[in-house]
Amino acid sequence: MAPALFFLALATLPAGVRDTTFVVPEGARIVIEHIEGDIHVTGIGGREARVVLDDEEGGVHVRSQGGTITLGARNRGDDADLFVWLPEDADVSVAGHEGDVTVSGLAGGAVAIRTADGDVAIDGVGRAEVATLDGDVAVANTGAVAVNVADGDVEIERVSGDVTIHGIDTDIVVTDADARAVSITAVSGDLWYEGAVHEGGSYSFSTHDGDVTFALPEGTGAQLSVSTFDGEFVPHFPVQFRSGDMRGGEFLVGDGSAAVALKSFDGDILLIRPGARVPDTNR
Amino acid sequence: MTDRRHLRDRFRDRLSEYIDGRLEPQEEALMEGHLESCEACLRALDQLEAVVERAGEAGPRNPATDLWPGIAARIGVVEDVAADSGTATETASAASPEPTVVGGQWPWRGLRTARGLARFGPQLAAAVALVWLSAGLAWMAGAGSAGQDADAATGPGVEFPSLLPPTARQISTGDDAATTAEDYADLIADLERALFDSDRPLPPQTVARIRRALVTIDRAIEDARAALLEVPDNPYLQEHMRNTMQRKSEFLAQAVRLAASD
Repeated sequence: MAPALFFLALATLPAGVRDTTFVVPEGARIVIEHIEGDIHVTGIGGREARVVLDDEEGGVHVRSQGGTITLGARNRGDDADLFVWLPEDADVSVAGHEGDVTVSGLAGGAVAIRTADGDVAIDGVGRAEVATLDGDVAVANTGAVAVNVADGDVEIERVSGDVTIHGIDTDIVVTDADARAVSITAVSGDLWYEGAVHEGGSYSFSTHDGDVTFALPEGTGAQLSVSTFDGEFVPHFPVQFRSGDMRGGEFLVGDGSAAVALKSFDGDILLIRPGARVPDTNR
Repeated sequence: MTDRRHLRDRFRDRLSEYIDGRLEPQEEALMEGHLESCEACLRALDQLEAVVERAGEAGPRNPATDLWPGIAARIGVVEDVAADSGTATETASAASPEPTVVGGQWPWRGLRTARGLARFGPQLAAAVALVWLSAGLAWMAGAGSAGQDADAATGPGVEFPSLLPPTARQISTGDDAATTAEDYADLIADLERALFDSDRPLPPQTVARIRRALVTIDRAIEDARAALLEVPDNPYLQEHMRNTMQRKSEFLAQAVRLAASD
């Protein structure tokens, strides 16, 4: 279907429809707006999309402008969940307020989620961005990840791409990562990283009140910059002292090919080998 | 987050009130009970009392002369300290035209809304000024962390228009480092106005969440300030202070954008 005709068809979607399908042209952007209630987005094969609102009173709207398709609930009821199926390569922005958001199966696409209150779970997405005020964030099997959360814990696993996470009251655990650039900060929370450390890569961790645990694989070189005000640097294997002291110093492991900065104002800094410890994710 | 930490944080948030004798009798008893078993809070209490004591000792004097040379060196100011009076006259170097400190006008005099600053007196203010002035607030001129541009936020599928007030946008994306600590205070005030004094009030629970996060950040800033008073030349503390203050403005900007999704 030609894009122009397709968009015209969307514009004439009758009110009260709560289950509809439409075709998504390649390159179209999808914007999902749903203020209250859970949002579930799932990737499927082909170019067809489907939107279902789990609410007998309300309906869905789908409208287009330029290359962007916007969809959401019309006459929404409280806590009505929205289910969306999209092509696997879709680029999606999700704007919610209260409710959980789950996104899966968009291996060829990217997702950006903004919400105020609710957990976010992403699995199998090309690239992921999340910003939330209050809620836990779990991301798995994705490319690059960027997360911004005020109050909630973050778990990232099996990601391949740059990782950027900023939290306030937030424990952050990253495992099985394959990233060349990692930047993770929290104001109050523990930080944990376990994954590949690449030559020439940059790995930066900083928290105000919490421990930092960094797992450096055997045979990997790193130049470590360690800083703490009211904690200790605790390496679990020999490191070469370069300058400073155990609260603020430079250390070398192997050829020092990766740059690693580990900082905690009020917490310990632990340097371990992968598998030597297990992150506590049941807090 | 552990329950232990939450408990500790709840008490630590009230330490200032405890010192000032502003807790209710029942709260005071609870606090004292907690202090008997929590070394971290006890340390924080000692630290806070030491800060207050030092601030009291500082009185109305200008910052100690052992502090100012560090500030002057970092911001490229040539100083001429009058040893007998404790006052100083500085001339900004050509390489560092901002901020200028002339005729005993100490730079932190312009600070307006930084919370708790006045409470700790001029020495602590000097430490704060040291951080901001030495850094030149470069992050506000575009050197902030990636993906956290306060002016525009672009997701993969849609652009979220900027909702920041003009002042905040200007500060965030200025083309030089001519901003000052006062600009930071302005930025925070603008963002808080945009967030809390909007024509469209935020839901109470959202406000509560935002304020809770701000308490956490402000507490971290207070910690960093107190630490800088002890060790003003510590580069890590200076950077940490700067980054934490940056985090506050970034968080407020983020909250403004999130609020727009209501």
